[in-house]
This record gives sequence, structure tokens and C-alpha cells, in this order.
Amino acid sequence: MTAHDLAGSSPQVSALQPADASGLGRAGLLAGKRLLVTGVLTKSSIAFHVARIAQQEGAQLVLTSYGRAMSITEAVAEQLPQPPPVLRLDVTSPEDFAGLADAVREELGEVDGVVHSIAFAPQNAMGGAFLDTSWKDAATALEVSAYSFKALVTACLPLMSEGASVVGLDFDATQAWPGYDWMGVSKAALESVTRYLALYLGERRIRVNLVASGLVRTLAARSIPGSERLEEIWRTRPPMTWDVDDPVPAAKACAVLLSDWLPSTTGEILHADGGMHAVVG
Amino acid sequence: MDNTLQLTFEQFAVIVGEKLRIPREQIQPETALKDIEIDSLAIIEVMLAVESQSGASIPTEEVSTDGKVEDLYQLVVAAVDASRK
Repeated sequence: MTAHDLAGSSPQVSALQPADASGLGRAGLLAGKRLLVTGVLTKSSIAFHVARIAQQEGAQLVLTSYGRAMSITEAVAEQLPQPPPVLRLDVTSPEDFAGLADAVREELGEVDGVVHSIAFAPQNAMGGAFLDTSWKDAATALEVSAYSFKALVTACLPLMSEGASVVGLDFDATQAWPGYDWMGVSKAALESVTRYLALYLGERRIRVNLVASGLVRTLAARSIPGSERLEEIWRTRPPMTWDVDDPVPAAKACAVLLSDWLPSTTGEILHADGGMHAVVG
Repeated sequence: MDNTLQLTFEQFAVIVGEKLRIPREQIQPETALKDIEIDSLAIIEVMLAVESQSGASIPTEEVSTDGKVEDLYQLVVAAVDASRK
């Protein structure tokens, strides 16, 4: 993984850099923030690096996971600077959502930020099967990957107040990617959900934004049939060199959106993609 | 100081058997991963256990469920070797 550092890109940010290597226990970009982070599954997960950077920048976290992934998330959480608690959340379970606010309140009190890094599509909904995908499989992708954003935010609303920030992980849905299929449709829905959340939460001054990451070789990306073709596109076409093995640029973009440095930015899609979205390659 | 430990195939197969709850005899180098119904979550469970025993960091993003048990084992061997360099 390429080592990146916020220092040097901005004098304001560099003034907040850690005095020690761990970055723990000093004022940082997210000092005092209480964050709920979903989607930590492996050390290559973008969400893992969001959690790591958030802790290094002074945030206190809870993670969520469920089912068989629960023990995996708990084990991977041990590799964070300060292993956070892992709460159960199946985003297809109304009961889990109903109990989420109480469980988070017990750990954090209130919540200053929420990270949605959740997506799933059945194999029949990806890999070139677009024309034959059943509504049931398409609906699963839409429910888990897009509707869950609304459900997660509303479940956390009782804990959020003015200035809170919600960030979701996106993959540019303005064009059709080979093999991405109903996952791509779900990301387009996620982008629209974000705009509506921004609309309805604006008066509470809760910001809702997405980070559209370039392709990162996470477990989610590897589960896309034919992901090698996507990797080839991302290795060759972005105007700035894009490292498909580096989740840090997307994670840092999330950290900035979770911070107080974009106080009037909502309904936005921040691209951390080497400029890919802006050019014809 | 290098604290990593190379696993034998036997040690690796025992871990796979325990995580998948299947008899050790079913796990041979040529066994297709699909035949023992190993999915991506199960691979991560196996690799976390391997990391715990070997001390090496295994690149799970390199793992595919299309291959054979031997492919997984070779990934472990390579990761342990790499961590010793």
C-alpha cells in the first residue's frame, strides 16, 4: 500500500498532524468525534482505513457487522489502533435497526458521524447477467446497497444533532461498468438517496455526502465476476495514476467529509478516483 | 526479529477443516474450493486463523474461490516468505 499523508497538502491540516507515530491522544482532524462505521471486514476494506484514520485523527468509534462476518470484523477490529466495540447490524433486519440507537448510545452517547460502507448483489445480478436478473435478485441489491443508507441514517437520527455528518461509499454510477450490472443500478439509487437525505436533513444541519472511490481491490470488488476487466480500466485510464491496491485516498476523503472542514457541503459526491470521472480515457 | 512461522500443508489443512467444519481427509491439495463450499467469508476466516498461527499478513484480496486448496496454501507460503524478507 502506498503511504499517504495529509501533511503538506494544506497548512491548516498539517498543523493538526500527530506528534507521535500512532496519532492517538492529541487533537486531530476528527478530535472528539463519535463515529459509527459500518463495513469493516478485512484490512483491505476501505472502511477499515476510514476507521484507522479516524482513530488516528482523534475519533471514538463503534463498528457494526453481523452473522458470519461478525467474528471476522471483531478480529480485524483488533488490528485498529484502539479496538472498538462491534455492534450487530443486519441492514435487512428492522429489529436490528430498531435496537441500533440504544446500542450505540450505550457506547458513544451521541453520534457526530456515520459511515455507510455496505453493498451486496447476488451473483445473478452481476457479471453480465443484467438482462436475465430477476426482480428478487435486483431488489436484494437495491435494499442492501441503497435503501439501507436511508434506514441507517434514520436509525441513528435520535443520536445526531446539528453539525453531524453522514458519508457513504459510492462507485461512479453515471456510466455503465462491464459486469457491475445491478450493483451499478444500486449505486445510482444510492446517489439519489443521498440527495433526498440531504434535502430532508438539511434543516437539521446534518450533512449527507458520498465518496465515489476509484476501484480498490477489496473483497467486494473481487466478488464482481470479471473484475479483472475493471481493474485494467482503472490501471490505464485515470489521468492521475490510480493504485487499485490503495484504499487510503478514499478513506481520507471520508475523513475530510466527517470533519468540520466542509460545513456547508451536502448532497455532494466527492470523487477520490484519480480524476477518472472527469475525462474520456 | 522475525517471528513468522511457515505452515506445513498438514497444519493448513487442519485449519481449513476446523473453520469449515469438515473432515481433514476431504481437504487435499487438488480439492476444488467450490467442492468444499468455501466462500469468500470462509476464506477470510481461514486466513485470519493462519495469520494468527503464522504471524504473517495474508493478502486476502488476492484470494479467489475459483481455485484449489493448493492455490490457497501457496498464497500462505508466499505471504510468510515475503514477511521474512
